[in-house]
Amino acid sequence: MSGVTVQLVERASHLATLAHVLEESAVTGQLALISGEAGAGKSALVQAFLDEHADVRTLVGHCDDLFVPRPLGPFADMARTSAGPLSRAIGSENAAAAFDAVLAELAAPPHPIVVVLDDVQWADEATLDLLRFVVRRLDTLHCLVVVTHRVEIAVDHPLRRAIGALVGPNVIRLTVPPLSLEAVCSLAAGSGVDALALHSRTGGNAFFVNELLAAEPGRLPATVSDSILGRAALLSRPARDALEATAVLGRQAEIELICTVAGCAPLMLDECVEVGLLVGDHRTLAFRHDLSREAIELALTPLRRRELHARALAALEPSGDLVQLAHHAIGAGDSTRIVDLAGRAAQHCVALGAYREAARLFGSALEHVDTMSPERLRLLEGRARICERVEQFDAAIEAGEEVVALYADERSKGKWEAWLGGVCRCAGRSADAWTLLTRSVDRLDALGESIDLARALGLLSQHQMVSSRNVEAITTGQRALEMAERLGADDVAVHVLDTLGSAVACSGDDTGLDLLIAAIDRARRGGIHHEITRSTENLADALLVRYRAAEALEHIDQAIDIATELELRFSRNSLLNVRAAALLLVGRWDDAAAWARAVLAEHELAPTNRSSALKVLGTIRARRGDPEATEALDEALALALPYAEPQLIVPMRLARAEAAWLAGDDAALEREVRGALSYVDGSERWYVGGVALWCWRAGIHWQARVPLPDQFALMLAGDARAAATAWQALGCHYEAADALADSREASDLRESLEQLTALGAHPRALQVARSLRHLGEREIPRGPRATTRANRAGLTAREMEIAALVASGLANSDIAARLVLSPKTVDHHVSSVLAKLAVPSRRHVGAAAIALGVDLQVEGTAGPR
Amino acid sequence: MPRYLVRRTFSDGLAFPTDASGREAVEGIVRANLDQRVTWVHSYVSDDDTTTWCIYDAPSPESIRSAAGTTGLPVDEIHRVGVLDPFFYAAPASK
Repeated sequence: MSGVTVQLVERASHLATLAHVLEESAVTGQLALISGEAGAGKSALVQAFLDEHADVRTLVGHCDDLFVPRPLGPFADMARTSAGPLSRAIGSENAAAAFDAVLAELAAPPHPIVVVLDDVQWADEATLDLLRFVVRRLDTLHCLVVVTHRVEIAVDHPLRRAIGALVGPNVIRLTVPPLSLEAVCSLAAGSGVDALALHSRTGGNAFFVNELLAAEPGRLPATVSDSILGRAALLSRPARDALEATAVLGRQAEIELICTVAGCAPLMLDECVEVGLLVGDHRTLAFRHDLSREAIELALTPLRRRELHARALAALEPSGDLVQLAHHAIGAGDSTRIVDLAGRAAQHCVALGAYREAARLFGSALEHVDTMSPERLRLLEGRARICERVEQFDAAIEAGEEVVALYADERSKGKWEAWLGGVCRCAGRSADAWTLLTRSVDRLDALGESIDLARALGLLSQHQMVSSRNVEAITTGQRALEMAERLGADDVAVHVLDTLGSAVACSGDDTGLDLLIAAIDRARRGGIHHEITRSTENLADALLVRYRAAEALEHIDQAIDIATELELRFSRNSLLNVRAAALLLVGRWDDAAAWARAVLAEHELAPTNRSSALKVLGTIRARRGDPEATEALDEALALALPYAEPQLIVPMRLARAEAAWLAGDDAALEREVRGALSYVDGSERWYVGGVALWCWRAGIHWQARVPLPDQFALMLAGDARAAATAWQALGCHYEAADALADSREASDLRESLEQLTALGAHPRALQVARSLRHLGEREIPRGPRATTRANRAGLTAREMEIAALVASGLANSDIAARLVLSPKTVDHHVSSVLAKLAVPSRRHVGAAAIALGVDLQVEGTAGPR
Repeated sequence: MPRYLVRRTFSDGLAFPTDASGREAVEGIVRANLDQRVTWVHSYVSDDDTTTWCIYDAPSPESIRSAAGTTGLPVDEIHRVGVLDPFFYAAPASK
């Protein structure tokens, strides 16, 4: 080797940390996430760590920079070095079996085990899933999982979400920073290279530094890429062929395969090893760093690249991994092979749950398939369904439209029109959805009763429901339900039952909630998971409309788990939005904002989901007097308007009316209220109540034609105290304080001010302080009391005291006796504590307080007074 | 990244001694901010040490509130701000 040694400097503390967590892994499994820029020396760090612990069992897997990553690629690498259950399971197309096999492998002695997943920025979704799966079970596994990834990944890269979700006590994050000037000086010592220039040129990138130092002194290439290509240029023609073949095959490849593709003798590879471009053992060779592979591959002429991919394809067939074969077919530009291989690889990815990869592969296949080929229809159907699943609605619609056009028979056409109509509704293309759904129903109706017709009617009913045409929705839904039951189509029946329940609930009839609960039960019994999540979402929505946030929170957790496990992203995001909105209602604003932001951090978010999250965030900002409320609510409205759904637009306009009012913008307040009024016909009575309240506050004369919920009716009647009590009974603290703030009694206003301040609702608190001054009150409190500020649930001092006694197991009567309060007052405080802690019963107070970091001290109140 | 001005009230007064304890306190705040991608640029402190006006670069108002939740610093008001610099308008020096 010509002086090319990877010197590890400034990494001693990382090695010590890794050694420490390896020790810890004997007790509980550990995860170390190592990040750094390309070339920072992540892989070198891991290699040095493995060398230091050569006696420990190790499983290593690499992810490669392929057009489309191999599903479970790194685990396939591990399977090759293990004779255990892993090697058998990875071969099969059964994701669950592969997951179990990995667990079995990790559970088997000897321990500890170091599992390395290198370069996961190129991992497929199935690998990320499997990683999450393992990490969730770390506490029972005696292994150390080491994951390396680049930091320079796109904002919408799936890895961001995956890495973000990997948290817990057994997770450490290490960053491999660029080398300091001192380190570069020590590396460059004696080389005759100007260390200062070297440091500024490389930015301290360990790879570049090492590369440049390895180059001949005095003949430094202009760029590092040149340095790599320059070194490759030193090779003989056959060795260069071998190097190029390796670059096309990926980060690492088997020696035999490289020779076949390059058409050279194994001896030629020695040359590449000697110049330090490749490293390896007796069986495989790898680029010493992937940057050199990229540089070599980029420098290939298009024709040469095609030729090498074609040869790789020929060499790997027929036993190679489908995705790898497709990768080479795409690289070779061989249309016939692309259609065949990419199509099959896509199905393979679907089977393994790597949906994004599948969508891309279907896309590649479609680019090359003949427009008249029957194969095209099959690929389009596959792409349409997968794109819908990963919320790439535009791509799904484009594929779906072609499917509809290609089918000649009425039944298939009608069936796909219905499907497309459903997707158009999700994508906010309401007018297209109407056209497609009605056309589909007409077409299928002419063919007599069928499951397809029942399904199309169900989708039409759903669209009528979200458009607040509840009477039509119920009629259509009932026809669909009867037909589905007659034909024994359980999944269609559950879907329709859910829509019917929502339509009934939306029309203001609470029996709709029972229908929704029945739909959930039936979906559970039938194991129809996506309907469990959808029905739960609709039930939670119906509860939220009625301001029953605590109940909504009780229902959604299990559905969120299901949506997460099954990667039902749309459902999961909708459910997380429900959670955020519910937490907002119960006064847990920090948590609500955190969940809304978690949704907004997702990539390729459906417009409705983005809009709902922005609405929560904008409302919180407006109520706190924080900046950027308008920006959030403007975008939220812009995203909601194309849907033209009253159930989206009325609450959105009301949220914006509130924000305008709190900001003192009367013109905007009136504009928003009028915007809500134009959609209010046929709305749920709780929405009507909100519209009536804001009309009143905006000074617009308007009379609701339906009886309003008590909370709103009492506010409008001027009974602030009773209205506040009614809101408090629903657990809605801000609404209660807001209602009480309309009172003319100084004592009410002081109580409202205290509650608003505890919530951090500054603009409304300022309004109340002003009212108090009008009443001639002095000594108006200006900030939250220190004790209230100190706990996250916003409990007042008295509520803390009472919560502590509840947690210690005392009954209300005992608490009343001990604190010399009336039992009624204690009842009131206890329900307030339950609501603020968002727990269903007093048994949960202690645990919830601990979870929220609220310190409940019983001392000082324990003894008689 | 947007810039924010945050007003904080310390009714008991604020003290960052210029020794190791002060450095530790400041470093603790900087670290907690880092988790939320919040950068503390600098602060103006009232003469009586009870009010600070702090300049931050942060991704959102919520990130500032979350960081404040961790550091235990009070938040009175958050404003999104821009810079107006008189030197920008200064006439070029005449020769």
